[in-house]
Amino acid sequence: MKLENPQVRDLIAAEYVLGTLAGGARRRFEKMLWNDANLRLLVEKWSNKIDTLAAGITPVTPPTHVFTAIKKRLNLTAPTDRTEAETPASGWGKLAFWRSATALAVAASFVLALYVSVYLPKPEPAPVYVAVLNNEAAQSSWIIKTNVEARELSIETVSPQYITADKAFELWLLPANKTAPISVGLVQNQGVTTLTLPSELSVEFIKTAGLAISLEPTGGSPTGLPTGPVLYQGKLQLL
Amino acid sequence: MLNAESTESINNLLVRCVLKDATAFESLYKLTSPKLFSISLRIVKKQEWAEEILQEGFINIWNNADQFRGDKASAMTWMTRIMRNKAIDHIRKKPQNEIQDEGVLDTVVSGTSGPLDHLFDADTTDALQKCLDELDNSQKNAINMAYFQGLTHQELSESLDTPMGTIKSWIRRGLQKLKGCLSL
Repeated sequence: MKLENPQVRDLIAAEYVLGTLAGGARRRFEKMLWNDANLRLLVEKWSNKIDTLAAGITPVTPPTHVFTAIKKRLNLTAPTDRTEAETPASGWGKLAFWRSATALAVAASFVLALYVSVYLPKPEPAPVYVAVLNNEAAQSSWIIKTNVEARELSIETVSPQYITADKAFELWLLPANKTAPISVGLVQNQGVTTLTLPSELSVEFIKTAGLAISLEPTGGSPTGLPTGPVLYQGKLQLL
Repeated sequence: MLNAESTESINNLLVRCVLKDATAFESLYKLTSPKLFSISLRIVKKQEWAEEILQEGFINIWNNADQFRGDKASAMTWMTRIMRNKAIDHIRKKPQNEIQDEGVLDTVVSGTSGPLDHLFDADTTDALQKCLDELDNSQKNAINMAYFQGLTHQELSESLDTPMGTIKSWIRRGLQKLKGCLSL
């Protein structure tokens, strides 16, 4: 299938989203999508409109066993959720002596491991906080992760944020008591940026503060306060 | 009416799935699965198959959440597309004699309405409905049947007892009018 005519490409993308593209044509179109970014964009564009048809569908609650199966397949089931049926049978009475001895040794090692894990002190993992910063259209644009106690922030773009060469993004802490924003530093417009939180701020202060990214001149705000528009905002939540 | 809180919440939950946050995934499932299950059910018309599709779809969503781009799509249309594609692929692999309408939509328990009706961007939904209303009845009917039942040109032709050339023409002209009306 050759799709060079822009109008034909657009129409075929629309038919694919609608579902009328069938058989070999559908399969060939899906193969083309892998290597044709422009075609993927056309599909996104049509899907954003056509798929809102589903808004009018009456919802139907699926049976609870479906999510149980999903969790099991993704290994998301907590150990306490496991049933006895999932535990392998031991078959003690049928084992020969040497096999019993091996099993005993294995069991003993489990008991020891359990003792070590339960009774010996181990360091508590530091709590991790996450914030998703949205733009005005409520689209998620940045993901911020932090171990507040270690004073490190990792800021990642959901997708590259385009700006002109004379501008930069600056991250701010917005204190819960509504006092002036505190600059954390400049963040790159794509990929991951790592910043250190000011050492003079308490952990409680950071946990309760909001986060915002403003558009500033290259090098950051010349005044120490946001001078450009605040484009993205969000709040830390315990992960 | 646009419920920005709902769409924002779904987008955020999906982004948190990138971080492998199982709690966010469960919330996302609770919020969206009734709608996505209903979409599959309408296409495959068999409860057992719709459950398989829902399962496969959510595993896909969990594993590929990092491919969601909030600047190009809403989370709900992104997930709807995953689910519809799975349902369409599923039904088209099945022999015709296995595909029977079990009437499950008449008997299954419907989920609650309310927030579930506001999962999609209401402005976009309203705009599409207005544009659909401007189409000829034959074009609108063919597009709706194709979307909600996952029918091909051939199946629409049989279902509406109309030549396939006419069906193709209705669909294409309808889509071209929608493109103009929606400024796509």
